[in-house]
Amino acid sequence: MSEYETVIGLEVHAELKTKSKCFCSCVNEFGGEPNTHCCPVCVGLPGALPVINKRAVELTIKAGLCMGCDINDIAVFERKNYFYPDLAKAYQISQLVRPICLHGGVTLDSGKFIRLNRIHLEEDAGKLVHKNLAVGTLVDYNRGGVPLIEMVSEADMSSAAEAVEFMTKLRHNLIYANIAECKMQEGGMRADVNVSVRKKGETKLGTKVEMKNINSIKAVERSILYESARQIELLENGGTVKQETRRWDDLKGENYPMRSKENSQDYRYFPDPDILSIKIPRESVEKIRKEIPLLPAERKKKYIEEYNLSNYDAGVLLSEKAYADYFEQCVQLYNKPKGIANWIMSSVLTIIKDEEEKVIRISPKNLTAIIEMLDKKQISQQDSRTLFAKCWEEDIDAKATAEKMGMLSSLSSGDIEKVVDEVLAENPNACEDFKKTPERVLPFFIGQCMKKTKGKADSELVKKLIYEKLK
Amino acid sequence: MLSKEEVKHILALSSLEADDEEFEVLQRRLSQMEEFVSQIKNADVDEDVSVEDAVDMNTLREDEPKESYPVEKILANAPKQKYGAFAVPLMMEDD
Amino acid sequence: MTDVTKLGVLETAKLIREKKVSCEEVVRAYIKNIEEKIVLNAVVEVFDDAIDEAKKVDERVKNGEKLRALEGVPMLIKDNILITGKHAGCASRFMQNFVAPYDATVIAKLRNEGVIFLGRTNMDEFAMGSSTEKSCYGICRNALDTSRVPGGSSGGSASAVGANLACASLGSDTGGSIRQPASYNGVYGVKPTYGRVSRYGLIAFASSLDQIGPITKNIEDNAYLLKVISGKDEHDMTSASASVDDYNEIKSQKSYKFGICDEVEKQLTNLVTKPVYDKIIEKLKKNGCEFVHFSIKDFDLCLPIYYVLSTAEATSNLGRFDGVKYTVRSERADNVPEIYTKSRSEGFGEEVKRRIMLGSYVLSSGYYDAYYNKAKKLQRRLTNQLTDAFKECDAVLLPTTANVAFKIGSKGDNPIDMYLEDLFTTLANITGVPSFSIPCGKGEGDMPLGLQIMCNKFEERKMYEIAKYIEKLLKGENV
Repeated sequence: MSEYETVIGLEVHAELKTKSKCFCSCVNEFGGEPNTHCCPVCVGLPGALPVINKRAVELTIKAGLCMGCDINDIAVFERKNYFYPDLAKAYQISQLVRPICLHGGVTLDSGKFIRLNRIHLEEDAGKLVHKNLAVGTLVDYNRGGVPLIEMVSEADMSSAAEAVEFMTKLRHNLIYANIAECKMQEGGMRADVNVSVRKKGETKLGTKVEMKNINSIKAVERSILYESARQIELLENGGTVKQETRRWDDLKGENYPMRSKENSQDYRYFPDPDILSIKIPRESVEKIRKEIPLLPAERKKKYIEEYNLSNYDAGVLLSEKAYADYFEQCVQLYNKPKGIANWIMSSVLTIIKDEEEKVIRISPKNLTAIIEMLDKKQISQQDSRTLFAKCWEEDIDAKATAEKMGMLSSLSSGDIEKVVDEVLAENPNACEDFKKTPERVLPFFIGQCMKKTKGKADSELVKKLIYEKLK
Repeated sequence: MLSKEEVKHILALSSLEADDEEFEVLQRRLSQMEEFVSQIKNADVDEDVSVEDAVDMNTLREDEPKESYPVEKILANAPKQKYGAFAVPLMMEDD
Repeated sequence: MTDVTKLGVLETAKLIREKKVSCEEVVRAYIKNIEEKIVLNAVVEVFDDAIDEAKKVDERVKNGEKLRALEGVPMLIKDNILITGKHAGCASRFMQNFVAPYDATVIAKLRNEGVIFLGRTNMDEFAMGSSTEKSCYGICRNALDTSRVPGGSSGGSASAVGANLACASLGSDTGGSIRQPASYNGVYGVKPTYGRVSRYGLIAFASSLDQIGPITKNIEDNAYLLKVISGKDEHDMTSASASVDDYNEIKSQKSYKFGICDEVEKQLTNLVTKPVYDKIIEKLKKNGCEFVHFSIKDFDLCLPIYYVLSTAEATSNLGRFDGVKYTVRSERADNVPEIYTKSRSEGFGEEVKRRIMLGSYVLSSGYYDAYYNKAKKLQRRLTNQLTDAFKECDAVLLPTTANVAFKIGSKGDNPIDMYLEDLFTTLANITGVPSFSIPCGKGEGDMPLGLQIMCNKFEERKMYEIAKYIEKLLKGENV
């Protein structure tokens, strides 16, 4: 096994977050009763003509900027012709020779740069639902015409893990920059996977096998592992790898050859005469660049270098845009990023990590208020936990509630000193023991003070006073 | 003269079929047509075709959704429909 | 009382407005003509609501309501332009069940002016043809001689106007399909500048060449109707933002500078109709017009360029006719691949299938560069050559066709013989310039001949002005 290496290329499709479809004004929305988001254009009625969506072009440019691509100053759209029931016009409007974005890429955590070949804009096809012999296959064009970006990588990845990381980073960038929602369960992101193997050290590429339309990152991983193993076994047994498209069955965890003409399609691409070339002025590109928020890679750098978070902690916070945004909102309100990070990870994330919908039910205002009160020793650890739980359940104000529940410490340092004096006076033997072994007796004294103050005493102050008095 | 294989290939690309009799006539006619346009092949030209009349992206359609057509209108001319969708015979995996 | 069916668009609108005739009378008169001249087979369907619509117009007139400019004017529409609720068959058995769910933009515009749609006209299937002999409705005949073709593909639209079956009609022109039939029937037909008129709702043949245009009984009607249907349309990205002028406005010149293409002249020397055109040039010269000669080196490639570009675009545009969504479906199909191949093979006529196949061929891997891409480059070069010519002249003049309308069935089976009909007309489609065909003389069998007046892009107003000038001269009137 180890004398072979795997070479992987991905073509990732993501549905763009526009309000209307790519070439008509039908709504771009998942679901709906069949054929209720349709019009003559997206159903391919005679006489209908495509009218391109400005936002789709803008979001494609934005995606290109996020991945460091060059943006072409003229973009051309081509027709990709083939017959299939989910393709209403019998051609897909896509881009071939002059896509909107070229080159660019993504840097993995290891520092390895995975190059992109291009990012282009195209339209999605409708959906086929295969029922049974009586009913047949049903065609629904709701998804037809939804704008997609296709991000094509070079064959730079050498393991399933790298492919997973690449696709995850792509996904995060798209979500962070508000380009696509990438809801995997709604088909918001899919990948075509190209896998080949070759002997280590060999520069020539092996024969590649393609698996299309894989719609989860885990399935991408499984398909790569399976296919590279399949090819290696084949070669080790003296066979040859056939260049083909194979269908990945994620439930069975295997792939098998496709009978269809998939392998010998001639798409007869030519520039779509219904769509003029699109000019992309430099100023428009710069305007779009300004729209891009700080992306995950840059945010991580900031969290580590400016906020002094650990690599691990930064990673956890950035694993979901919602967490990162929440974290940053908190830091805006109360500039203690490390403390806030700890609270989020230990309290917030532990609750929601197993939930379906990861909704953070405590406002940044409340969380930071609690942390601040705790830092200022206005409330105790115990109280802070109670308060947190209450704020999670109910829509209340943390500060006001702390006050109402009598949590706010009304003890002055003078009061605390009085209590310390009381405790010391009541426990003369302990005072003697303290002089010998302070670390062992200290907890007892602190405990007694806490009892007397119902937990409100500042343990640090207590400790200080005891040391002062018994020295 | 276009070869039989070429004509078969073109039929497949065009999703058309022809029986033996039709095929012969078709082969002949297509060959005549191909010959008619073959002067194009031999013409010497190096004009730049790309980039005619490009339209500024800022003049493109605004991303505002409009009401779709009612499903009845969409399906009105369908030769076969079921449950609000166009119906075709059950497709085998690789159809 | 004058036969109201001999009148044109503007005249009829005026009569109705002035209450000199009722709209219902007009419509019934035209329907009577259609029935009497049924042998022409120019009209495929008379809409059953035409008389009701006419009655509505008469009510509006009676009630003194504000009337629109073309209130009550009956027009016939080519079978490939969509009218809501009406069949649009494209003269194909494949489309026999299709009822349009929306209006073409041109239809909406005409409707807004008060036009009544009388019915739809015969054509060559999917607009592929030059004789209207290839229609599922049967052949159409020339208005002036029923043994001859009306031309095509807008044969029905032109024959109908020539035979006074409506005030005017709409046709479509991809390689000459308005101008050639107009010329054959002695009427007036225009192909506007590409992009002048919206193609939304026109069943597409060749997207970069198609244009809709009016066919009329006189120049003024033609200019007026073209103005009504022109303009930028948000549904058609290729429609132009160029401003729409009053095409009937005359800025008046006493004489013009005309361009004659050397290669066209060369073709003319072989034609029996040459004397007719020589006489026209004589008359114009006598009246002070200048003639400049220019060469379009690629002129002889017009037809091959046209047939490569148009069939390539057509093969792609016709992919959507598939037996799944809105066409007839083959009864013999057991699975999806068969639905495609059997439905399409049964549904499309022979010429359509041949062009679809040629189109696939010229786009296919290995041939794209040699054919399609080359043809695009030649198109560019050809356009530049013509644009250069317009620097030296006001308009280019050339015959519309090589001869008068030919006898039905005389072209035989070789498709190429038919393609040569487009000899003089494809130039305007390939280059995108506007071209207007007017009757200009007679040929064999006393059949009409047409003269094309071509101007630079978006110069329709000048084109019509020149047409009026030439017509006046030909009629011996003072200009």
